[in-house]
Amino acid sequence: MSIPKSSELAVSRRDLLRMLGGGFGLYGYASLLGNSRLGASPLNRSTDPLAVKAPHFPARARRVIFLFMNGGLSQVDTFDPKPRLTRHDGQPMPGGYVKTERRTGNLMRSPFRFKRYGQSGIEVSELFSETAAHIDDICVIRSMHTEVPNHPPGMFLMNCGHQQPGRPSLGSWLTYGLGTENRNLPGFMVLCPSGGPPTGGVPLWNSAFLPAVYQGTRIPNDQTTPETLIHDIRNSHLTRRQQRRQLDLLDRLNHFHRRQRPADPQLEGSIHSMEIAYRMQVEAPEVFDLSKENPATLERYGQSDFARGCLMALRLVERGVRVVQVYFGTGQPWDSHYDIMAHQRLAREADPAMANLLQDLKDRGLFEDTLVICGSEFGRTPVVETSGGSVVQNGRDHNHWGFSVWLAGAGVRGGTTCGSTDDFGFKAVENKVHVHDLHATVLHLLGLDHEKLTYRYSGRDFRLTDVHGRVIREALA
Amino acid sequence: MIMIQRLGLSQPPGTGSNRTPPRLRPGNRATDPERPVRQRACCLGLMLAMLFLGATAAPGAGPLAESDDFFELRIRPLLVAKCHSCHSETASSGLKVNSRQALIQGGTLGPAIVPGKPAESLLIQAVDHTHSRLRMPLGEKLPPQQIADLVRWVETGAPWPQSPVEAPSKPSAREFAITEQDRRYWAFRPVRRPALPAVQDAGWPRTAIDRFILARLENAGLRPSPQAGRRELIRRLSYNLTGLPPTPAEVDAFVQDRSPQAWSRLVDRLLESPHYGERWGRYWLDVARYAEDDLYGPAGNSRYPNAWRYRDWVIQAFNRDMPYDLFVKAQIAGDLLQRDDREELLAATGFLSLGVWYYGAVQAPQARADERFDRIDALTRGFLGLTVGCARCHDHKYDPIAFNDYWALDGIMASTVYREYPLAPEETVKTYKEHSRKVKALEDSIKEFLDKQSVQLSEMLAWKTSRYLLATWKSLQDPNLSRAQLARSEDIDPELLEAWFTYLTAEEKPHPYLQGWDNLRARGGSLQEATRIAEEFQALALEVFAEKKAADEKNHIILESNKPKVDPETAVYLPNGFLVEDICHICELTLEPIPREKYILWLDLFGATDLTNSFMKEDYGLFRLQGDKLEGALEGEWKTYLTTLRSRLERLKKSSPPAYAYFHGMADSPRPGDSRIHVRGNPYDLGETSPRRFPTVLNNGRPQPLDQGSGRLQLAEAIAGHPLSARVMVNRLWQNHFGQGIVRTPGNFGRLGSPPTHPELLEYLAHRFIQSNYSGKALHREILLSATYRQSSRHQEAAAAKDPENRLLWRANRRRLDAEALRDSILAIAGTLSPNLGGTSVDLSKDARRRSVYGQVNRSKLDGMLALFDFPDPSLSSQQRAVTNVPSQKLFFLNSKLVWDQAGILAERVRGKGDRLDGRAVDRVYQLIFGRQATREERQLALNFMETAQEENHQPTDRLRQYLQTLLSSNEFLFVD
Repeated sequence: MSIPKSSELAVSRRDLLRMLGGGFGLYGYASLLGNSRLGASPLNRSTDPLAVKAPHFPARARRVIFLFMNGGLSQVDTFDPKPRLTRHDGQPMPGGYVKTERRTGNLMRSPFRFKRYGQSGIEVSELFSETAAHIDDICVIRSMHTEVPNHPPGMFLMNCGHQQPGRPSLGSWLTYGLGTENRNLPGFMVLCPSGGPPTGGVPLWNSAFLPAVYQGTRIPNDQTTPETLIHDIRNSHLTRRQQRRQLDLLDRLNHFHRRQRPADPQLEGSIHSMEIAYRMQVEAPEVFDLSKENPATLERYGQSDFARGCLMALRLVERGVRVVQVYFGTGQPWDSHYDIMAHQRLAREADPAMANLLQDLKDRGLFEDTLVICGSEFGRTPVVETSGGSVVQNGRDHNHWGFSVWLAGAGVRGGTTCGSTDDFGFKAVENKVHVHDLHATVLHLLGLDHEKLTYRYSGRDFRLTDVHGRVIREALA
Repeated sequence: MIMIQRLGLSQPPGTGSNRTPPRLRPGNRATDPERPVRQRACCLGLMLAMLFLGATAAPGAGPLAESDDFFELRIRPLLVAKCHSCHSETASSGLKVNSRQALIQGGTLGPAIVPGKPAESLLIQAVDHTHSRLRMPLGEKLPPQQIADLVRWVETGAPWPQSPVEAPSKPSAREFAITEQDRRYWAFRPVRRPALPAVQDAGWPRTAIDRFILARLENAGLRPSPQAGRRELIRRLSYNLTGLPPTPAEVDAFVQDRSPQAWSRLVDRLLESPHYGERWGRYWLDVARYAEDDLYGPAGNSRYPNAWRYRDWVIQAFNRDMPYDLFVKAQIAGDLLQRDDREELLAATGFLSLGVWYYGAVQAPQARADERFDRIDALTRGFLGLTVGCARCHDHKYDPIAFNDYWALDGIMASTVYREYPLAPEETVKTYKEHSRKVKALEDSIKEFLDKQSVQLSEMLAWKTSRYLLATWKSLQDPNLSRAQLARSEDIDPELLEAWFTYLTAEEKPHPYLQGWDNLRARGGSLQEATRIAEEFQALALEVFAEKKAADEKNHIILESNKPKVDPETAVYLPNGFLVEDICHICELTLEPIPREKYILWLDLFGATDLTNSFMKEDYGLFRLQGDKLEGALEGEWKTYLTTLRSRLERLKKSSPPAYAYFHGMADSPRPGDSRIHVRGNPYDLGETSPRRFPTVLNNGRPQPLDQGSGRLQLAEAIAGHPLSARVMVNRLWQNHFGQGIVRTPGNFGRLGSPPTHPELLEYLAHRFIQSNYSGKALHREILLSATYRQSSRHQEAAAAKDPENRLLWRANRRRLDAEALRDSILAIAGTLSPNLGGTSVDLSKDARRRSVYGQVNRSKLDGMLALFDFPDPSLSSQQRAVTNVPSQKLFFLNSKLVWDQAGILAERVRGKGDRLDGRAVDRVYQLIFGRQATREERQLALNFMETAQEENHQPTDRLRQYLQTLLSSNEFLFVD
């Protein structure tokens, strides 16, 4: 078992309480809390499991935004241009049929135009032309591959490193390993519309056998009022002043109680949590109140749920939230089995939101230490799907043999591509990157060694990457 | 008769088949049984490989011949680095690559190398990816240079020079050897009664347990803590045994009972309380990963409406002090026990039947193997404290559990099937099922009728397409014209015209067929041109309709003739009528398509659910009327027919017999048998058969086959009779009394678990447990009567310095209330908690009366409050709850409806005459919430709070409510000393 050790920093409890009482800004305060005198107690971990912890080695990124195109983004229509696919349109795939989920037919060219962008000249399709303006800061991994061409296992593997539910999510591992900087907000937030979770559901952001505190907090990003965004965040009966009076009374009561029960970190932790919760009531609704943003900003991102999710993600990482995952929508929106043109409509929502997120991260000085990941549970076939569900044959089946994911921001070597698929974009062939490798790389960028970030459960040390994973060095700056 | 006039239909449509196009939905289920499963590298294998590599890197054994050199520098390191992890001691697919002989002998697919013939060598084919199936090594293909090296090596006869270090050779899975040392491991030995240790302070111990505890404390130079106060003790005991706070009267009675038997009487009373089972049954339900639904199923999320019967069975088993060996046997094989109370024991197999079902989430072989894994994991960790699940892919790395042992148990689970046991006469069940079938049939025919009418109507309406275009044209030409007026004059439907207007004036259209129209609009052509375009478009619409109809008819035949055949004799059903053999057969068929652009036009005009829209929401074409609009168009016989069907359905539903009760249980499969091992856990790579038996190391001598039926009953007997079974359970009981077990890894008594802090005590308890015929209550009693249990929880600087984790139990552990105790206490204190026992589960977010143990437990969505306070994920067997104190929990106290509501009710309860909160009322409140009187300081604080609040002019009750909410948020309430 290996928990990154926190270095000691002598701050007395009295100092700490004074800061709390004095309305000391809580942003940045967490490191003090985490490294306070309490750190000496062996029980500290159970008291303050979210305290900021030192990484294994200097981190390139401090925060992560994971944009998830659930359903399966087609690589050959977005980030992996294939001229031979165009030339062989309508012909059988040379080398024969590769099995995916369903019955498929001949090669089908992409209906979308590709263009070179930036200094690097990396080709991206018109679907993501705005995002492509940032291509010199993006590393496109074109040789991703995963295990199965089915949604739930694909989603679980990409999110939790294992095909079946019941393993901790990437975000849970990260908050377990690093704690979180802003203790007024949960360390791991998951944005997804209230209509329903992405395919796979709640276990996608579960902490499983990790302590429950590392579980993702789901925020329905289609909602606009704080009450519907965070459970019990508002008090509809009492004024702020009344509540403050309650807390003052509580402070005295807890003080009496603790006087007779010295040296119990649980009791101290409970008192700190109450103060933080009190402040959270102000900070948390403010983060999600997009009306505080310039209307022009909202306009730039677009009017979709995903756009709101991206903007919220920006505001969350700005406030020190460790991991924000934005699902494109409920279920599996990108699952274009029947008509790949559906990608066009989806990209109209995705592209401006992503592009503006990247831009604003840059403008607000966050791009340097925020890692942005964009991908899906698998890709799509370069061949047309002809299965019985398909009344019109213009779509693509699931493809776990090869797909694209891109990284941008902290520590990422921008303007590069990594690995490649075959001539038709079906299978990853060169410099193949498995999902475990992607996870190892993400942990690495956050200063964590994927082989050392372990948790003892059921008789063995578990890792996000199980017994696999290699850091993709080519993707690192 | 369809009311043609209103919809402006003057021309009768052509007749033809009205068959509704088959509604096709993509299935999530996949079909490919040949899906490759990425194999796992085994961790220990890798480590050994690394050691080996280290050794060969420095041969230093004299000069090497050129070929030797080549082998040592290029080939051996390559084999070690890329192949050994799976092909050395573990021998995946039977292949080892650690000697020339092993390579020539090969594995299940035949020789790996044919010296001198690289093209015929499987090894070369695999690394060069020229083999039809084999692609090695897993992960990245080898660089060309390394492949060329291997080719060259095989070509030159595959020389294998004598190595200074022999490749390690460990027994393979088949030869897994259990040593004497393995058998002598403490946890596997028979339970014996240990001698009581000598202690210096003979005055402190009250029971034998105390002798064991004190001996270790004295050994470490520590002293036990003094006994806790009476109020602390009764609060601790009440929560511990019932999960509820003591009432003020109970506290008073105990405090005033000065007899020496006061404590034991209290222990006995609480052990006899029916709330005892609610508390301790819930502890077991954590282990049993009890839940009432699954994430998957025939219609998405599935529910198990009778799951609560298993929950109630567990609670009653605790309340009745069912002997633990029977408790174990019933949950594994209750259906097979020949006892008078078999009927009741049928519920117990919920332990197996309510485990996770994966339905069609992944391919059947994988899903079924994962389900059996869940059972084996819950069973072995839960009852035996062994992580047998680790041996699913390879021999257990630390414990003497062979790969074969896992698959031996798998055979038992594979020979067991899901079965519902009705709790009603056969006749009732038959009637109910018959009735449900009728309701379903009638609902289907109503839907089918409406679909047919909708399709037919859309075809008729298509004959007026041009009129809608022209009316839109006219409206565009003269915006002053009322479109309602236009609709009347054109003899078309005004609402439909509005829809058409929107459609035709949209900037972008998803198909090219209205380009002419858009051009015309842009340049402003004549009415004549508009008429021509409108008529052409109408002709196209009719053509598309016909084309689609023809395609649908063909597809209907394809679908009908490819319906999967299910043999009712061999079919295996999971819950919710899910047929194991059911697969996404549509995925494998190719239907007659129509061109994409025409399809889009069809969707826009006539479409039902939009399949190109991945959001899967219901969407209908302009002419495809639904709901009121459709029914408004029905007249005469059609309308009467619909009304008749509907009223018949209503009558039928009214006369529905109530749903009959049943147990979700298990039964032996009619065709029991052994499982074949899944090579490296891969369900598509089956090895030899592993006969059903109890894990080898747990047997005395040679394992006996467990082959009567599924072997489940024999397994149950073996588990219940094994010493581990008693050890694991007494440790669980201890853990829930003290906060930590004697073995602090309650689900892992293996070598990687934590060793017992008091091994002799564990033996003693196990011995007592068996001696008392596995009576849990007798053991509780013995533990609770100890001085150890009654220690104070106060801090002692010196002891804390020596034993900060309190492993030696120099004091009691202060514990945070868990989710259930917290919620139940708030309700109990407010006086709203229902004393009722058992029954169907309630939604805890809506209910504020029933105990939390009666709340729904959903894998799909755990109750928010329970989850907030560390309720475990019910998809996994949970051995111990996490305890957190995070800010979001505090929001619950500050702002939740539950706390505010209950504080209000409590305020009503304690409010005296008038609105004053005097000292006595404060005492009453303190007694209710904390089980003690308030101090003078606290009384003063209360009065001050009430006064300051009064200044702000609040209603008196409101002030009291705020005060009570604060008390309920305090540490003293949340923690038990």
